[in-house]
This record gives sequence, C-alpha cells and structure tokens, in this order.
Amino acid sequence: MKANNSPVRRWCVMVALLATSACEKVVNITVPEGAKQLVVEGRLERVRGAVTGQQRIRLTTTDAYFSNTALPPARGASVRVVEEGGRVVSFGEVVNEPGVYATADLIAVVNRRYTLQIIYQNERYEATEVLRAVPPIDSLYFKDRIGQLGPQEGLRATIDFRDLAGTQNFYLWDQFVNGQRLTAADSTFRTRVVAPDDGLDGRPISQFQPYDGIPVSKGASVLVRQMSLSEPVYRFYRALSDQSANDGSPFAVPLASVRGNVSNLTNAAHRPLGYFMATEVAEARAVAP
Amino acid sequence: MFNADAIDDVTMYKGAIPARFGGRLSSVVDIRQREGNANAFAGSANIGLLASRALYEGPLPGHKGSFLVAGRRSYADLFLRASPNKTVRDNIAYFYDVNAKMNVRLGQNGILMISGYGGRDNLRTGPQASAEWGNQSGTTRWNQIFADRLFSKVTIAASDYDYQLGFDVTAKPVQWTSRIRSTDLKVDEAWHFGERNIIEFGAERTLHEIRPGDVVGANARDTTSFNPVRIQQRNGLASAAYLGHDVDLSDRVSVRYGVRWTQFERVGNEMVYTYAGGAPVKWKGRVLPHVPVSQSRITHQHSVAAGCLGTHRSVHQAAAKRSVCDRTGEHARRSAIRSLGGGVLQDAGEHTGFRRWLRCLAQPAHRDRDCARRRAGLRHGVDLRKRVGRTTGWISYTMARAENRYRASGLAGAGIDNGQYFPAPSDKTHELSIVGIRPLGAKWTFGTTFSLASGLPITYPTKRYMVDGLLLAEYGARNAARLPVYHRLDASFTRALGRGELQLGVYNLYNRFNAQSMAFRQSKSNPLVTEAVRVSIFGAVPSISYGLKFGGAAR
Repeated sequence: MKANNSPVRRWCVMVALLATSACEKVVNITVPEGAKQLVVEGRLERVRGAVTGQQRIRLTTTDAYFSNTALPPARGASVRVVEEGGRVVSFGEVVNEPGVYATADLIAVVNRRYTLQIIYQNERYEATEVLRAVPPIDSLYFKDRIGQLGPQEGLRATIDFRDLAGTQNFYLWDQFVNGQRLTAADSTFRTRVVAPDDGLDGRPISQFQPYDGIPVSKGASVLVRQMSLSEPVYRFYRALSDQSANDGSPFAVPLASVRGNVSNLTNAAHRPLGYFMATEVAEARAVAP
Repeated sequence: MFNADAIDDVTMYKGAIPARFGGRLSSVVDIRQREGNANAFAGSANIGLLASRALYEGPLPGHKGSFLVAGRRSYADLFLRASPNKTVRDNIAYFYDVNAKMNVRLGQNGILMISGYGGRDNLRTGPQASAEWGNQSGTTRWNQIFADRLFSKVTIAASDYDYQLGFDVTAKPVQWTSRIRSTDLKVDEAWHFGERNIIEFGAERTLHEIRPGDVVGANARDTTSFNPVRIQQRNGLASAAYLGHDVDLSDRVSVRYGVRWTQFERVGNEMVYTYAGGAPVKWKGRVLPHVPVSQSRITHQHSVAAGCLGTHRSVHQAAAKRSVCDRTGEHARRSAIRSLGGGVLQDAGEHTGFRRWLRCLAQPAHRDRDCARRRAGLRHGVDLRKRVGRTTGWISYTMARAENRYRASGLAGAGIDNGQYFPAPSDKTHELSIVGIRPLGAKWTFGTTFSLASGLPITYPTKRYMVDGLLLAEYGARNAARLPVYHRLDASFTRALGRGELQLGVYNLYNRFNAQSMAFRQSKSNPLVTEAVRVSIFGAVPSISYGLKFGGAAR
C-alpha cells in the first residue's frame, strides 16, 4: 500500500502547491519567552562621489514573540569604532532617537579595517570588517518585468553595471521609492536582495531588476543603492531572507536562528543578533516615466 | 518510491545486516524485482486521476523463461494545462518510470537474468525555475547452482543518476547539471552444508564517476554573459570482499557473524586537494568485523531475538572544493554502529498476534571531532491482527524515538542546540493505525483506515527582533515543541466491474486540517503584529480509480 501511494501523494503535494497554495490558518499558541539579546544594525558607508563623516548604528533588543509593539531600543550603550591604525571614533546616542548612535567624524575608506566595539549592560561586543569596494551603477532605467515575480503589468527599476574583476563579490541592493525604502517595518516585502558574482566575474551585468516583483508607479522618484558584502555578512543576509520568507511549505528551510558576525566577548553564550558591515555604496537616481 | 507492481519482495535489515552488504550504517533495504509469469501472458492496468500504471508479463518462447514490463506515468500537468492562468498553464509536472526484467533458463540449474529500470521526474515553472532528475540502471546476473550446495551469482550492473536545475544568476538563466555513474562487478557465493549452515563469501569492485556540477548559461549561444563553471569530475574505485556465516545452533538459536574488507581509491588525472593538515584524501583498506547476532525460538508461538551488533563503515570523500571538515587531517573516516537489541515475537497462526520490542542504539563515532554526529533510536511495536465475523482488520501501534545530535568542537555555542540531542524532524513518538475490511454483499467491499500519531516536532520562537526592517524570530531549543496530534480517517468502496475493480474512496473523510507545519510571520494587515500560521496540505480528497487485469493463468 505504502509503496503504491507515495508517488501519487508526492505529486498531489506538488500540484497542490502549484495550482493553489496550501491551506493556512492563523492559530493561537503560547511560547515561552527567552532572555533578552542585543540586536546590532551596524553599517559603515562610503558613498561613491561624496565625502561625509556621518555614520549611524542602531541598537535594539529582542522582545517576547507575540509582544506586537515596537522593538525596545538598547539605550545607554557605549559604542565606538576603531579604525585600522588605531584611531578611535566614539558614537553618541542621538537625542530623540533612542538606540541610535551616531558620529560626524568617520570618513570611511575603501580597503581599511574597522572594528566595532560595544559595551552594553556590562557585556562587551565586537565585530571587525574591511570596507569593501563596489562598482558604479552605469545606468538606471525602467523596463517591463523580466522575471516572474509580482504582477505582470508595471515598469520595474532596471540597472546595468560591471562586476569587479578578480575578486569574489557579494552584492546587496536597496531601492527607495519617493524616499521610502522598500524593505521597511511596515512593508510586506520580506527578503533582502543579495547575490554573489558566481559565474559573472568581471562580466557586464545588464538589465538586472533587483526588485523585479515590485512595479514602480508613474512619476515616482527612484533611488537604487548598490553595496558590497563580505562573505560572512552575505551568509547572514541569505539566512535572514530564508527565515523571513519561510512559508512553512514542505520545501522551506527548517526554522532556525540567524547568526550574524558580532560576538559577545564577555559571555559567548549570550549571543548578539544582527550584523556589522562596511561598504562603499554606488547610488543611482531616476524618475519613472 | 517504487512501482509496487514490479516488486516481488522487500527485506529491511534494521540490524544484523549480513556481511554481503557494505557501506551502509543503520539499515539496508533489499528490493527484489518480480519475475514475469512463466506460464501464461497476463497484464494489469490501473487508471487514476493523477497517475496510471500498467504491467504486462508472460513466458518466453519454448518455455525458456519469462519477461515482465511495468510502467507508470503521472499526468497532473494535464490539469495544469486546463488552467485559465497562463503562468500555471505553462508549468510542467510529471514523473514516469519503466521496469523490465527477463529471465532465461540455462540448463537445469542456471538462470540468466537481465533487468532494467528507467525513471524521470520533471518539474518546471518556467526557464528560470526548473528541476528534473532521473535514474537509469541495468543489471545482468548469472545464477548457477553447483552440486545442490553452492549457489553462485555473478552480477554486472551499471547505474546512472542525474539531476538538472534551472535558475537565475543575477537575471541570467543558467542550467546546473550533475551526474553520478557507477559500474559494478560482483560475485556472491553461498555454500549450504547440512541443514543449518550457510557460508557466504564474495567480492565486489565498483567504479564511481561523479560529476558534481556543470553550470552553464541556459542560452548556449550566449557565451558572453556567463562564465561557465565546471566542477572537476571525480572518480573512485571501491573494492570489497566478505565472508559470513549463518548457523542454526539448534531449533531455537541461530547466529550470524561475518567479516568484510573494504578499500577505496581515487583514480583519474584530476587534481587532488590537500587540506590544512597536509593530508590529501587517501584510501584505506580496512577489515570491518560483523559481530554475532542470534535469535532463539522458545515455542512455536514465541521467539526471542537478542544480540549485539557492531558494524563499521568507512566514509570516503571523493574530495570537495570546500569541505565542512577541512580543518582536520582525517578525511577517510570510519563510523561505527553498535546496537543492543531484544524482542519478543508472538505468532499465532492465521489470527496473528504480533508483538515486537526492539531497542537499538546507533552511534556513528567519527573520529573527526568537528563533524561528529550521533543518532540514537528506540523502537517498540505492537501489531494485532483479528478477524470478527466477516470483518478482518488489524491494529498496529509503534512507539519510537529518533534523535539527532550535531556538534562542533572548539566553538562555544556551536553545533545545533549547543551539541545536545534533539528530536529528529521525522520523529513520531506514538503511531496507531486501525484497519478494517468488510465485504458488503457479493460485489462490494468496504475498507477503512484510521490513523493517529503524535504531531511532528517543531521549533517555536521565543522572541522577536528587527533587522533592516525585517521582523524575525529568534528560536528556542530545536524541535522542542510538537505540532497538534495528527488523526485521519480514510474510507473506500471497491466493486468488481467488468474485468477489473472500481474503487471509490475518500481520503481524510472528516476533513481534518492536520498541521503539516507551522509558520511564523508578520501579519499582512499589520506588519508589526507577528502571528503563528498552521499550514495544512489536504482536507478531504475524494478519489476514483479503475484497475483491470487481463490474460493470465496459474503460475
């Protein structure tokens, strides 16, 4: 019986997934609450063609899973970045923006090493990254959908660029429409757009639509930001996207914690979440026709 | 998985694996293809909504032997083509397979057997999202009995497995192809002496050709936009020889033990990668002992199986570009399985009561500390068969526990759950099924199955956090929670119709949405609200199928 049934059942599963999606129902469950953990969103940027010393790092903490309120900021932390060569830049907590730490005194430089050091509630956290170069966006324009995501109608922001030859590169793209980032707390877009340059080393990459599932409305002003990731940060973003896009289907990845590249030097088991990265940023702006 | 029409016999060895099987750690499933009907031509066909299958068999001319051909094909994609949505219509989803076997008698005591299998699965939702995989294999075997005592088998077999994936690399469609071919020459001898002794011995040599992956642009003419990636081919030659002894010490006690020698070597001109310890991938010849197991019969109704098992397996790596274990020098590793087992089997003739208790502990002990994995299992089972009036049926209950452990040494908090044991994803602690079959009048038969099982293990989140505008869950202990209890009732009516049988059935009669998994996500109406979503695949599903048989006579 079993040998007889299983292929049929397997194909039923596939057909069910193709034709419709599986049946879903929101249910109430209770989950135990774990100890609070520090969450780091640390990004040092060097925008191509601009020189600024402004840098911001956001620290928050975890909250109960069904808390349904904004995430609590991590206040009163000591935050600093040690530059290659020994210069120390302190980040102060921004007034009226709890949990955001900023400086106007760190002009980041490509290929320079940066170490983020945080002391929060008597525990020391640290991460080190080398600021990575990124190729410029050669052009930003608008075309019909090339991929298969999202509605068929509507123009998509499309870019051309050339991969940096001779190095392994991992890219991250952000898209802003009328000043609003597509990946935001109140958006339904649940992945970060990242890609490695496997098979594309040094090649021109044309007609790439980073957010191919999202049409851009007429007259919208669009900003595309292209960034470069180290391999650990790329892996972090891949895991992050796999987890946040998890729909519970039989082909989804197992539910698991996402581990970043920041470590706790005081108590390794009390792991921080989030990331620290340092990247050059290529920007391109255009208005949708 | 397998076409049940073409299978004669399936033997599963969960422990006490005979020495003739090598390279397997926890269990061996020995599947034998059915032989064709040697006396008359016969066939069968079964037509279902999603898939159909057919079989044809018969004697060879001059009563020299028999043949059998069986095939299956699913046609779910025909329904997709009926969809009003063009994207759905262009999808492809099917599988097919064909089994064929021919037996030719050679004199009084010999048989030449030629068999083949080919099957393919294809799933495509466009050029940028496709997956297909297939298996082909062919076997030629000469069986000969010498002096009524020595049963000899010489086998030449070849198999070919491949898969292809189509996907996107930064808007460029590419095709990934991978393939494993094996060619095997094997001699197996079984020498029976007395009623109660069998000595088995034999040798085997297998050539493995592994093409891990060729990645090329999907558009072959477009050579400018994608640098093809070809991971070099790897070849390995595996050899083995074994000697085993099966003996019934008395009517009640039997013992099996043996020894197996294995060797593996890399062959070919490809580059061999060396690892941090300076040690290249190397082969090792090993003698692996198979330690005794015994079974004893107390009465005709009861028997006790007991014993300990210690088998070893060598794990050979045909070298990867990046290895998960590349921080240690030991790459041809050895795993060991040790198990202690015991059981009571109760056999009461036609109205069988059957109980089994087995405890086993499988413990692959890798010396490579960074890749240490261990597995433990417990299995208790009860099977009761009963006939009440015209109703036949059985109740079966199994209690089992499967746990995994993944450690990574030298890193605090590394491995899964800090290297602690956790329930395996497939673990169902309790499983109960009740089957009843009752004839209704002369033509109809009613059948029903009730299944009840523990929910599968699941990992629950314990907190949430936000990174880059994405709300994420931080999870607690792996697989520490359980999905709701699974239960389901199936029923079917079967009626003889014409030369065949018509079956009307309902799967999941009371339309229970059993949880297949649980997803945790941001609410669509308010992204700052997180919710738990139960995912179920099927409610009640009606089915109709018609199977027919033609030709045939007594075997």
